[in-house]
Amino acid sequence: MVYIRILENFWEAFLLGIGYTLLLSLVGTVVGLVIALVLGVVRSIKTTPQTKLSRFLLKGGQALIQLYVTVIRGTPMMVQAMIFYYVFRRIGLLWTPLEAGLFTVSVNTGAYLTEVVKNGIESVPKGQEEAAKSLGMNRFKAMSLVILPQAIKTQMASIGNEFIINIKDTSVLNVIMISELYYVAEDAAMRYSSFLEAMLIAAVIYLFLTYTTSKVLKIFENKLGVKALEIVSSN
Amino acid sequence: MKKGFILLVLFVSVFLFSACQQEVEFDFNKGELVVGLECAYAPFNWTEDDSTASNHPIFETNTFAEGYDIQIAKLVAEELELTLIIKKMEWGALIENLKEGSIDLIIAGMSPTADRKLSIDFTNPYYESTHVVLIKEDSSYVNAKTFADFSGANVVGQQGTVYDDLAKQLSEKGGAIYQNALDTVPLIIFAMQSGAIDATILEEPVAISTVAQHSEFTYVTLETTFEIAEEDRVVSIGVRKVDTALRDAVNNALAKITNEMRTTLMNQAIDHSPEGE
Repeated sequence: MVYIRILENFWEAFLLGIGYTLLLSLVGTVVGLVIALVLGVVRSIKTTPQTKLSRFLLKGGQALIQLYVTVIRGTPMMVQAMIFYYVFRRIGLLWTPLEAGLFTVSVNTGAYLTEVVKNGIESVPKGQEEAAKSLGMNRFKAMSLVILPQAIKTQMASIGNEFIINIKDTSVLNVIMISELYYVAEDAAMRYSSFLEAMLIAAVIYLFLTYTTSKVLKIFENKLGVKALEIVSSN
Repeated sequence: MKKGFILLVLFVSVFLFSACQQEVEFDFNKGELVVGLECAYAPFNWTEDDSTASNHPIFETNTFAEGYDIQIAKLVAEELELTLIIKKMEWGALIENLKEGSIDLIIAGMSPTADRKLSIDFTNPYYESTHVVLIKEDSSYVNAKTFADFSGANVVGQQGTVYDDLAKQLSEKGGAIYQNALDTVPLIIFAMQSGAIDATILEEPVAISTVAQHSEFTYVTLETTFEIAEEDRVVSIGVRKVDTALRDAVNNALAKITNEMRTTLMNQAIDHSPEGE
């Protein structure tokens, strides 16, 4: 049977593919979240600064963040990966496929999660900030110690969802020569001219990865005491 | 629990279904010969927008197929007294479509490899080729003669083809750096233009037409030869395993196409390959 032949000869490649897929989606989600925390905070600032210069910097910064979110969310990750890896070489950015891949997923996740973080901050009652300030905290401390932790907690489901989406969406990164899970499946499919079989194997592995991940995230959410939310896909 | 069981049953039935697909036999009385190819693999096959005396309409599109494969397909269909229908599909889907019966023959510059022979049969060769290394004209590899001359070069091949195996050979024997295979030749060309890739291995006619389209490229024929099984140097027509009668009929038709004719057809195909920017 073709399934056995594929698994016999490709099990090591499949394991390596799973490794790359998990590495890309895990690092991408973590780095993307860090990007989103910074950008989401800037996006959520509503007060008008005193001086003209800081007003200009804030408005300009917020406009740039909006542009970043719009462009990254509005273009396919496959196209972004090709531009980051192949086209950026022309301006002297000589990174490896894996480095470019990690960058692509991080930048992508950052764009999706910026909105999530902003919504999370807005969902924290205004009284929290006022209470923190009345305790003598400055704005930075109030944001990082009081508001952000609560914001992340309420958006935990969306952040976990982004991780699961990344596991599946990294399958486009074979265009920059990364041997992630889908690449291995395609290789096996072509080697044995058995597309259906190889793709079904890949589907089962992807399903296993996403299912286990969502279970682990659920346990994590329960530990944090987050109420289960209806997840609406961001893609 | 119940949901999980239903899912399991679904998966198992899909697996079983895929395991016992029945192949349909070719019916000579239907009067048609449906040929599948990529229409994106010059000079063997490519797509044109306007009808000419030598190209052939692509099924259910307003475009036309041209190339060495199309000329062979036309000669075979003529000999078999069947109406030729050309269907365009992705390279990776060709064999699956042949097995399912939506096409009758694969004439797509395909080599009859042992792996492919596990699922389909092949006719006698209709073309035999040499493999060369495509490089950029301004690269330091223009005078390369042996594998070792590519030491340190980034080399890539097209996924699922013998080119990928040859890229590995160049890396193992000459010290080139093997990169994971890419999906299409145009993507490899793009990767080379960006500088991410220094060399790729192609069949000579493909290299000739690539150089004709992109003047910044050139190719070298090495003195050290690649280790290639005969089945990988030749291209054949793919047929379903059940279709022995069709295979014999196609072999008879191919036998009537002389070597001189094949060379002429290939040269014409290279000359008429789509011009790039």
